[in-house]
Amino acid sequence: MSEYLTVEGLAKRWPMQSVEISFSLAEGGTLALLGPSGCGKSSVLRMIAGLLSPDAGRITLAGEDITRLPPARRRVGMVFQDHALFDHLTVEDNVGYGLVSQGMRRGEARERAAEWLERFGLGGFSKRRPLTLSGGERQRVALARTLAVSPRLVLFDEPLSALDAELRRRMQDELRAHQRSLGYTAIYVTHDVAEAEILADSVLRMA
Amino acid sequence: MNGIARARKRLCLEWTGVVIGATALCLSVLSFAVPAARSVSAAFAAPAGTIAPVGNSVGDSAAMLLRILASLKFTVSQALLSSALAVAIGLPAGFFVARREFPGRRALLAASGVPLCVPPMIVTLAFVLFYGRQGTLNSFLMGAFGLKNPPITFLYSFAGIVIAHGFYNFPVVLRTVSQVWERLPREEEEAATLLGAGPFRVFRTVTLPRLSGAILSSAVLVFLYCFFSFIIVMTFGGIGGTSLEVELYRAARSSLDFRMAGAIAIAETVPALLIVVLYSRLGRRLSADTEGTRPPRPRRAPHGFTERLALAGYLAFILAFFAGPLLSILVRSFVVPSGAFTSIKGHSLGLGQWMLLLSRSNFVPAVVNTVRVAVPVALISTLAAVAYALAEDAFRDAFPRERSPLALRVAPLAPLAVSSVALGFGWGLLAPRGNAFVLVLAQSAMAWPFAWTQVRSSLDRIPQSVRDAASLASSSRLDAAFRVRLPLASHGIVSAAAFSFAISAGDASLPLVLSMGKFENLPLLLFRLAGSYRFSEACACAVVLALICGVVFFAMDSGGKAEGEHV
Repeated sequence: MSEYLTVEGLAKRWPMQSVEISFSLAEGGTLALLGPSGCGKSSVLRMIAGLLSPDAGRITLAGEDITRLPPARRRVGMVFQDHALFDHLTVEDNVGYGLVSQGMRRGEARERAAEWLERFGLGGFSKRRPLTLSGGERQRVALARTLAVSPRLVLFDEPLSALDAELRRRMQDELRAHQRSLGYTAIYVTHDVAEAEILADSVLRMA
Repeated sequence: MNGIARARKRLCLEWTGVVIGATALCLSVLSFAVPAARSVSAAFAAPAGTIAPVGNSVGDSAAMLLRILASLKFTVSQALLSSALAVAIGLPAGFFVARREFPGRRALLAASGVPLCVPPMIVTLAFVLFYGRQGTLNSFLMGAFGLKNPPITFLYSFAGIVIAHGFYNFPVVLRTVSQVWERLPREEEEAATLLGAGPFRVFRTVTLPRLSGAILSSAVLVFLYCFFSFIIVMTFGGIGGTSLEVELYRAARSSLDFRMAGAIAIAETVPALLIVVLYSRLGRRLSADTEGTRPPRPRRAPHGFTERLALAGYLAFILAFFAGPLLSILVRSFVVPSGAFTSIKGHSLGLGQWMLLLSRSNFVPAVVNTVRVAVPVALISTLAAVAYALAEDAFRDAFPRERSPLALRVAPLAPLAVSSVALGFGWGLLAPRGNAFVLVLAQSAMAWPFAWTQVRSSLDRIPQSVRDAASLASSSRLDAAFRVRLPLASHGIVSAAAFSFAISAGDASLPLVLSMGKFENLPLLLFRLAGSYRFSEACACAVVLALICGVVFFAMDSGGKAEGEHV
């Protein structure tokens, strides 16, 4: 299998802590970064997304060196632990946000957002505000917003940790099913071994 | 229009916004820095305009220095005692508001807006009417106890200044302390109780240390307000001494001793700058105390006879000594007097003073002028605050580190270190004939630290994940700022405009210091009416001014109640 994402010697140092990592991932593949709190898993994701600049290392995505590209030009999506929805926008404008950034007309972006919401079982939710949604609904909206712009890579930072146990199990199956049907390449950060095994093809343990 | 053209058009609009914001920021900075530098440089100018060192003769310099030192001592002592009094009154209020549910709690909380939206001019008038020799309190006591002479005579003295400052500013302590107190974790106090500590020991060893940041931060702010207090000190200052601010006003406007005025400007700006640096450091500690998503602890009804008695006593005290003076303004505006300066007793009630005020030829122009100046001040200072906050964020993104440089954090608070009289004096030297335009610029410089604090605290409350999500999904950092961060901070931005409006509309100091010719606004009209002992008419004018400031402040601030915000 060809290497779609390559992370080589990616490193970040802080006064009391440091992280260094190398791995590769095939297109359509899924990887879970597993490790205890504070081991630097989320920092690795943030470096891949361009939200944190590394001290050393190289990131190549689909043959392009993206190490120094600004976040907006990497075409990397991220689903956050607390969903990070924009509370001042409706659900459809949240999902269409990235499309408008790319220059799509607002009306057209809303139509596309409605299709994504339909696909995630949120048909009648277009005009709702994020604050009125349940945890699972917010999670789906966050995923729809991320996938709507067809990112080359999707990063998940503890995506289910804010949910209760039952909903969490349901969402694990749902996330896996979506990944299989849409075929996106994904990296999950989690501290839960069972979750890592359900969500990802391979697991990388960090200490 | 294709996608690229649409994205470009949006970027173009966003850059237009940047240019407007940057212009407002430059205007605010220059409106502060240039006159401040000019007022300070006056200390080094010889009367003929040639440059000479401070003091042409040793005797001159020594006399000047002694006078300044005496005023500095007076200023610092009154500000210290006023802050201590504000803390003593504000701390119980902070406790009751944060931890107890009782009738009148919301009203007490609403009092926290008083120092921000009730101008000092009105407070001065309120204290004269309530505590004055012929005021409400003395009339009541003389009637009740058959006294011939008024028993309350402290008003026109050092004690009068301290009491007026303490009561006027205790809501600053109430607001800051209650915000921290209501979020203190219950577990620590419970652990101390289980380890055998009584309520007082729990308070002293667990609660008080956790509140110390809030107490200190609010006390420093009250100190700064009192250090620069002008109208209250000018009115109540006796012959025993006066503050640097009043000395500066006299030197700049009465004796025209600009060298002395410049020296006083230095003497008050240097310590104030140190206080602002201290406040900025305390502000960071306070943000750490109030940040996070911990919800306020549930409040319970007061329990036990002692606590109920203490609450009732405290509320009666606040009602009598804080609400009383302010309410007496409203009552007095409906009193039709028979003499120039007489008590309420024996007069009839009516709308006579209101009719007199409304029929004044200068009343409507004064209202128009107040709004005409306050609206551009609100606009300029808010735009400048937003521009600075965004520039600060861009700097933090470009040079990420745990703490922003001190200069970056202190710079937006720097105007707090220059008094309005010193600023007005500097402006007066630059533009000897003041006008509305000069007033707008000078007030924008004064208002923008307050505007910046509102905007900054709103932006800081946006979770890091939302900022990250916006960076990933937007076409540029600027796009993320305009489409996500600013809309999410909109409450803070609106509050900033409300603060700036209220500060401008209620400010009598700058219009007094700047030679404004025939220009008249509501604070000046109020000052002149009170100065000519037309108290009932002055009260009607004060009600109009308080309504304008209060309505704008509460209407715009109600949606944007931001925790942890402080200046």
